[in-house]
Amino acid sequence: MGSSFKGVDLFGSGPHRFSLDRQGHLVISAFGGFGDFSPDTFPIGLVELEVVVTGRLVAASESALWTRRDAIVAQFEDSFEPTPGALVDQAGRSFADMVIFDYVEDDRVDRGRAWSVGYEARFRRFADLSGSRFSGSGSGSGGGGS
Amino acid sequence: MLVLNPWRVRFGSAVWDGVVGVAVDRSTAREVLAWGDAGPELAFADTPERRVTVTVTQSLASDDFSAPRPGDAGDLVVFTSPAGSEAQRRRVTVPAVVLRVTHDVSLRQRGGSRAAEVTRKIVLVGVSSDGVADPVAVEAVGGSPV
Repeated sequence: MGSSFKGVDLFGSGPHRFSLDRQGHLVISAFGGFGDFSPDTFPIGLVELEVVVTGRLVAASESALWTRRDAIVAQFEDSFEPTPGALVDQAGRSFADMVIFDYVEDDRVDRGRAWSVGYEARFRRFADLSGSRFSGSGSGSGGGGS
Repeated sequence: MLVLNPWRVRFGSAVWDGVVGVAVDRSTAREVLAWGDAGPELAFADTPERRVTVTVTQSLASDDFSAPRPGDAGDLVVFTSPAGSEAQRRRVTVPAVVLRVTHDVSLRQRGGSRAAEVTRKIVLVGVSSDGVADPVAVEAVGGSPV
């Protein structure tokens, strides 16, 4: 079974791996922050789910590799409210309401027997995609889980 | 690739005498190996950066002040000395840069006296004309080498 994002096979040209970034509460320290010095910390909510895909795009030519690279970059939306979608790993595990927000390639394209480049793509389940934070009425609460 | 007792060896405009062997070794300067989520076995391998190392071994019978220096560049041309007909003679050409020159001096007992045996090793690295072409060219040639 192949992986996909919004039904599109972005990473299947080469080996790739899925992993989850840190999950749980975001904890802040009260040290001096509330007018008093204290070692206490406070949970302020669950961090947003983040899925990391690392791998290598592989193609038989320079242009074919650009096609694969462009397909990933085309998933970015220049918007405060990007459209989320399902991210499915190679074992069939589906992560709903994910948005790709970061894509970094290795420092070089490797041109040997094949054209290939390593990458890291990050997907996040944003708690608030309404854009209301920027109009001053956002709730600011997070959420985790898959 | 190994050429034993070549008929003639030239480097740039210099002729190197007493060459007993020329070894052309190929190695990987950078390897790309990638595994995926599907299982434990390697899923992708490539050698996007390769290296051709040429080692010329000379047997010296007397003082010699003409050793090349690291950084010297030129075409290394080796004419083989086939045991069979001249039609099998080959010319190996490698645009190369000298990396290092070393000498090994040993004493051997011959009769009642001792004689010095001197071996010089010249290590060069092959340079491709465009980064794609194999720096080693092997051609069949007839007649005497120039």
